[in-house]
Amino acid sequence: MKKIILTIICAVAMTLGASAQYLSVSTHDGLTLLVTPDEAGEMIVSGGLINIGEVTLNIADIEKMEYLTAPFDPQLVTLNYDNDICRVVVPIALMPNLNIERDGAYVTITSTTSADPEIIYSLSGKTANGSFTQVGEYKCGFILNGVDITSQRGAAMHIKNGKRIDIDVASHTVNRFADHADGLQDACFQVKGHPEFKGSGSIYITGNARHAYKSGEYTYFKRSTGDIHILAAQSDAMHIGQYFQMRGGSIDIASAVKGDGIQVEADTDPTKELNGQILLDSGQVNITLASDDVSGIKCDDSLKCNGGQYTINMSGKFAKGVNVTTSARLKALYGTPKFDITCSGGYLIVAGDKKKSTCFKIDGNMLFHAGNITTAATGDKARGLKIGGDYYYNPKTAVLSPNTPDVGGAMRILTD
Amino acid sequence: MNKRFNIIVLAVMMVAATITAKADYTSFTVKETSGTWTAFTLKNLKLTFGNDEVTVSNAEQTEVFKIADVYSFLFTDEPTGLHSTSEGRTIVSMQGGSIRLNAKAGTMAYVYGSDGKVVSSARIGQEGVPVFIGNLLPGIYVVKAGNEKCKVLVK
Repeated sequence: MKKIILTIICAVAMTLGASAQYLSVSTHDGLTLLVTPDEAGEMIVSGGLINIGEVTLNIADIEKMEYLTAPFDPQLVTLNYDNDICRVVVPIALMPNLNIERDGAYVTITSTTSADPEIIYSLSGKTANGSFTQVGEYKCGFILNGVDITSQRGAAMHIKNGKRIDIDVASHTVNRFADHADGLQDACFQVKGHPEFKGSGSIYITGNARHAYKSGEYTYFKRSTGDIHILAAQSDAMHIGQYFQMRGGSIDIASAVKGDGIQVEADTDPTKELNGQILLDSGQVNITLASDDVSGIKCDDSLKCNGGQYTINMSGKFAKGVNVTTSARLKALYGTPKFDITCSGGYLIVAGDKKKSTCFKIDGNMLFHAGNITTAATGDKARGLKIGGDYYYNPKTAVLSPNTPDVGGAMRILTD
Repeated sequence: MNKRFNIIVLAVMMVAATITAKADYTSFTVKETSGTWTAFTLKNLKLTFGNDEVTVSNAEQTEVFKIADVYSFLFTDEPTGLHSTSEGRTIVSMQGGSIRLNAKAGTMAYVYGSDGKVVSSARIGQEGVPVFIGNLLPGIYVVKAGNEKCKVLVK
């Protein structure tokens, strides 16, 4: 009942939030301001300028004004890429909060003050010579609504914002990003803060310079998340700070990635929540890597897996399918976790030591409550499951194949 | 529980209705530095800029103004006489209580007071030349030219 009431209230609130009578003011260079009559007030014309609400425009820059009645979202900034230009549509009430810089299809929007509720940026269209950069210190959201951006300068998508970034990948849309090979950017799709993904659409990222995807703080895939495809990277496919939590969606990482598949790097601040951890609840991960000395999934702290399916094929030498610095725990809370890991590469000799490939490597303890781990260590000297510490397992629900773990500590039975 | 739910839904709907009951704007006005106001109904309203001019068009008419002659634009939601209540090309412009009318040549124009009595009348001599048809006291009037009518508010 509460849900129904909340739904009704939300629907009414959305209706009230939408403006139904407005003027669309378009400039020759592709900026459109949406102005309600109340916001416009009396638009004084003087000295070649026109005042529209709190905004002053040069009349020579205005292409047209149109009266429209379709509702618009007062918090939504729309960017539509069209080859070498990007058309930006902004409700005029947001203009005091935003600084919009455009150079062809290279767009930077700086949020200068807080907007409550938060600003949403919707991206669509295609450019082979553009990018989007958002700068700010306030929570905001993005809707990837079928956008295809290739940058000839740096990152294709750069969110220089240390707050929570909501990224909604619109259903039935395909969104592509490719960065410039000679740029100084850390990643093709880079977020300073902590992005939270949702929406069932698709994202394809090609990292031509370093990482394909990077977040400075945690990355969270909600249950509704669609599919993320990393087509190439000169370094890691997904380089994530603080922690990575996956509650849904799928990740495909192709062999053109030269670094790690998913790497979580602990923040230098040890008090950060879940620092260095990977939490996998559900979804699918498919990783195929061919480079030497790389990991499919790697974290600076622990791995907790409660479900999902993970297929990892490593053909390079001294490769690690899963590489956990501290401990790992597998439970069947959201379905049965299933790992299929192949390491077909051999070993590397480093300072006289043979560095072997390992399908599933845990430096600390492993608690294997439930799930299936299948390893195929076909490379020369390659190993299946290697545990540096103690190995706790439930023989009824934890299935390891082949059941020949290399355990540095004790082996203990779990009875949960 | 059902009763409580119904009350909540009703309350929400009433709040929504109250908030959305705000009057809609009905016309868009071009104020010129000369004091002339020209109003346009909002259907298909579009302003295009170029050559130091602004072309204002809607479903009924198209007018061109020199930018240098425009003082301001504004939406209005009052019957200021700045919107036509029927289709046609009759244009009413005002400066204070002074009303001018531009319509087809030969058209007989009347101004009616709120009591329905004719307070002023004129015949349009030449299309495109506004005709002065009355200097009115504050109040609401109806201007009729041929088969067209519009309300006029003199403030």
